[in-house]
Amino acid sequence: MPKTESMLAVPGGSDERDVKRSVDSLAIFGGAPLFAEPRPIGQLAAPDIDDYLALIKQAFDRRWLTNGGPIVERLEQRLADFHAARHCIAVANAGLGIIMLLRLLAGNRHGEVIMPAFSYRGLPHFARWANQTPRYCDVAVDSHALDPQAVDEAIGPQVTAILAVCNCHSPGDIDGLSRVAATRGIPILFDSVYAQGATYRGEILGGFGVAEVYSLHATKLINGFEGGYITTNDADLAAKLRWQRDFCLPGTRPPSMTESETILGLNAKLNELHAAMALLSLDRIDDTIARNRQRFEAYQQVCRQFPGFSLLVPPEPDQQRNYGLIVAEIAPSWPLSRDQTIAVLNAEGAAIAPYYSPPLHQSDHVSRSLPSRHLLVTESLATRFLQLPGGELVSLEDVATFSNLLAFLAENGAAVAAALTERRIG
Amino acid sequence: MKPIGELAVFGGEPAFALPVHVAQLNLPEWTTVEQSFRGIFQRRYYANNGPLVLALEQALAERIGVDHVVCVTNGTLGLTILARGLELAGEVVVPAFTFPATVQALSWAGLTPVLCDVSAETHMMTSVTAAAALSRETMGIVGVHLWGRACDPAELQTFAAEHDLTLFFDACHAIGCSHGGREIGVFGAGEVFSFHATKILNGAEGGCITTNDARLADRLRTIRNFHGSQTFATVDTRINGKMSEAQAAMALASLADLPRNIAANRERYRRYDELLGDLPGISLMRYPDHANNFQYVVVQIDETSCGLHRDVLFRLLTAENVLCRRHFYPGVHRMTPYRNTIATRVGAFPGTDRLCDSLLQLPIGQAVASTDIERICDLLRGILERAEEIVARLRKQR
Repeated sequence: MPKTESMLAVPGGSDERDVKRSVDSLAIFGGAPLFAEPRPIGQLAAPDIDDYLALIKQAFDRRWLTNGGPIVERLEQRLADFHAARHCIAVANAGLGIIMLLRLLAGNRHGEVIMPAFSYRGLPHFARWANQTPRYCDVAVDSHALDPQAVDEAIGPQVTAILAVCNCHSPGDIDGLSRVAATRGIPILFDSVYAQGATYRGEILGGFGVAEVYSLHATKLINGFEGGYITTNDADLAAKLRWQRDFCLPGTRPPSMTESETILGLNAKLNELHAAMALLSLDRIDDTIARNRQRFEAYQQVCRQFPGFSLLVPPEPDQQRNYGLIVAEIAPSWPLSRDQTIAVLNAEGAAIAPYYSPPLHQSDHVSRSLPSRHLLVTESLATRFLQLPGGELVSLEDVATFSNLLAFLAENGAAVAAALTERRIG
Repeated sequence: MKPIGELAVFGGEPAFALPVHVAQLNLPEWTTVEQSFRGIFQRRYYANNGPLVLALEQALAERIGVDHVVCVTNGTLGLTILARGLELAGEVVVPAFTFPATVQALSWAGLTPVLCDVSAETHMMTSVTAAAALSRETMGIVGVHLWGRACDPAELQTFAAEHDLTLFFDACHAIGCSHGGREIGVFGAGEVFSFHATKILNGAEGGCITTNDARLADRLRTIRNFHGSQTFATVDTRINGKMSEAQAAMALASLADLPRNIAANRERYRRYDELLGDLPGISLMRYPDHANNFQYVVVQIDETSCGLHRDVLFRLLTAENVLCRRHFYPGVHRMTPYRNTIATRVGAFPGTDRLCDSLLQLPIGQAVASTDIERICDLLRGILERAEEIVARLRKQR
């Protein structure tokens, strides 16, 4: 590969020790790693500790740490406003929110839930807890979200819900999916965990489908330690979810429910300590997104020069995105395989992994239940992507260091690949 | 005692300006909490099996004397994860006199709960009441240690072995309690505790599963999360049941306070005992046979002797801002989605019905001062002394 000046000169460059000068100096071959403390991929943003302590001190003074406290209530109101949704129901985590919805939408019937296979590994488990079987569907090649036509073809009499996923770089064809759902009379909900703050055709996400589900996990945009929330414009559904979240106790049954209607209750309450963290993180969300964008652009500035290595760029440039995940695509012209690249980066202190790989229908994370057809787009996508370090624990200097490493791999990839093969790595 | 017309139910000022609760709501020293949270922010380690969760699991294992402790989001989720981790299918026998979450957790785990009655004396299931609910489909049995009293683990263990059933326990009331010299947490295949703020050990929300079975612990730790690096066994279903560092910080501080909080509860309980001792128609639940955490003051109201029904007393006290509770009313056998289903196959639940109709829990916990207890008992005494007159006036009012 020809050497170019631009590859060597990484903007915002790092000091001498942060540059690899020979194949042997790579940590995977025994060199010193670039980072003694691995750099993660999660957001891990936090508010000011003193602000946080002041807020939870109020909860202490009230002796009110859970069971629908005033901080949870304030958080729900703020999140409903943020998402322009009529109702927000805070929950202990996003997975529980999805499980609750799938169970409610199925009406105690055992059935199937349509979901993408190129997605988060928790999805099929959520369906299982809701007494549903996952039915995987293929995705669109640009958005990586469910393909409306594939969904239409997959709908059979057993299907109780469509669990669509809005991705970080694109929420997908929400209108197309909603049309299929409406035509076929199947409720659609959106797992929008990675799309917090994103817009679709100019409208902020939060009010699409019967409901949307978001996470407040520390690795997500709004850090609530653990936590999640559901947004919906359906008042009846919101009332049922609130009842379900708090054990479906007889005295608090929503008046809109008939006597014969039953819901299985649980404890999915968000506590005040988590809600306080989320509330203060929500205050800072614009800054968090701005810093994410800076990291993304810093990577992008360098990576666009590499052959076969490109960042996953939002296909709708006029829409808001949170840039929380920095996903790179490896093409055949990159000298290393995707998994070799990950192995090299891991050794240097990048706590990264393949992106949605293997796809859910080929993963042993959940035992397989439905015989699954080949999902051509999904299977192709699943071989190509990796996630780069991002979030608050990754500075722009760190980005420059990783970019230097990638520049080194771009230039010396053939030699690195040969050394990896020789040592039977990757 | 104020004149009857001045009772809050008749429009008078409530005896307490602010509500007094049936809830422990024990708070550790603020400085301890502050320090702990500063540590979390410095480490930037907020969730995902962090150092405080590990420390809490270790501390609980030592305190209880059990090999494995798996901390979870809350007690209900803990029981669901335990039921799933035990790899059961089919029916599980569980008492009807319990908080509905005990039963709901089994349904979420894909099991069919079948309710049994309880002893009207101990409030808990016995091998006799459990036997009435057995069928060929029964795979397990869930004992509930109510009010911190042990649900006769020795007898139930023998019964479970005879019928080849897996025995496990809902121990959500029972942290710090023991039976036969052994701490609750070591019995059956596994036990589940709650660290809800209303319990004596306060993690805001939270709980843990305890077991001496290493392979079960591996499955539980795997089911609790989705992470590849936290996979210790092959399981078919996983969930986010992780406890956060914030919850662990609270629970650790609260665990350090546990002996002191138990002693304070015991003193409050003793005061109630002194002041209610001779009142006719009110009998206080005793904790004679083993160590208890005294987190509940449970009284049984005998309408014949005291002249008014438990619900009338509940209404009168609530109006005075004494927010007593009627756990567990109604019984799970009368609640959706269980009533008129296979869950109520045994047909009659006389023990449960009697308890659901007559028990009352009185305020206790860190926020309840000795003087509050004196005022509550004065109020009770005054109400009972003029029960007939009050009931007549309520009737007229209605």
